[in-house]
Amino acid sequence: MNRPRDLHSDAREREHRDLVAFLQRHRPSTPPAAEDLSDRIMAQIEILDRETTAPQPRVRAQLRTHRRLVWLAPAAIAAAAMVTWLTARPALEVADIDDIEAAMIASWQATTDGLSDPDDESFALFTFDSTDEF
Amino acid sequence: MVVAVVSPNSSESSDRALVRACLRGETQPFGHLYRRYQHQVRSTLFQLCGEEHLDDLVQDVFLRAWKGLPGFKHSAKFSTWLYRIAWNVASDRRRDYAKRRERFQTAVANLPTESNRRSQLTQLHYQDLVQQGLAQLSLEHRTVLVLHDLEDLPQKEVAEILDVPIGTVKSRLHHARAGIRQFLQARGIEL
Repeated sequence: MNRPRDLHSDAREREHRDLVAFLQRHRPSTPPAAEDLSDRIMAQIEILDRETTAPQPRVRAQLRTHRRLVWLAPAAIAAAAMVTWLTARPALEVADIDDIEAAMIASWQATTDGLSDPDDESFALFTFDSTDEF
Repeated sequence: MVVAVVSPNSSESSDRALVRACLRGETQPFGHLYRRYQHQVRSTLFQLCGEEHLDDLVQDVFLRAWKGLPGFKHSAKFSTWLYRIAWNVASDRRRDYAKRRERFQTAVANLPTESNRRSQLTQLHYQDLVQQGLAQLSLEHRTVLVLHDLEDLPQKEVAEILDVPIGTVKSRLHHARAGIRQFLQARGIEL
């Protein structure tokens, strides 16, 4: 029952074999390479090799330096900001403190002078007489 | 034409050793790999791309191979990997092939009439016919035919090179053979 299919398959297989044999027998001849092709390729590879392998240690060192710089940068910025803040902040001198004290007293007096109405009960809550007992 | 045949088992371990030496930064072993495989690469590229810029294409394949060596998996076969690079290089030139095929089809259209075709055919060399037959196939079909039927690579390896299922290789091979057979028969060659 399989016989006709086998015959057909065999015939097709033979056809394939014949075709492949023809193609292999008459495959186009590959033209020869330029005489210096091998040298050219190896020269290119030497160049590539120098570009990719020789600079590698230098590149790695640069990367390490860059990484260090990256870590150093925030620390340096923070230190600089701290120094700037410390040096730029005005130091309170004794004279300044006296002035501030005088200004505060003057301000306080001005405030209490305007509000020292004996009829004002609300004010009485916040003032006391020297005769008051504690 | 004689194509150097590389014994698969003996060369594989040696290929790996050469690749390892290359990865240590030695360029000399790559020269051995070049000499070992340049015939196959050259022949394949010639069947796929024709003669134009053939040296440049071969150079391109080996330079790409050198650059790609760090990514080469040692479990793979070096020759399969190299064929794959050759296929990629050929694919990149696909437009050139299309133009060449167009020129070829124009030339075919200008062939003499049936009456004097027979005498004309006798003057044509079979090699030219095979080359023309290959040229009129699509790049995918041509590649499968070249790798399997001319370079004698097993279908499994062709599938690996092209990164397609083996069924696709079988199908393309069937169509490629039918196409070139039709082409040759139309030119009076009985197969």
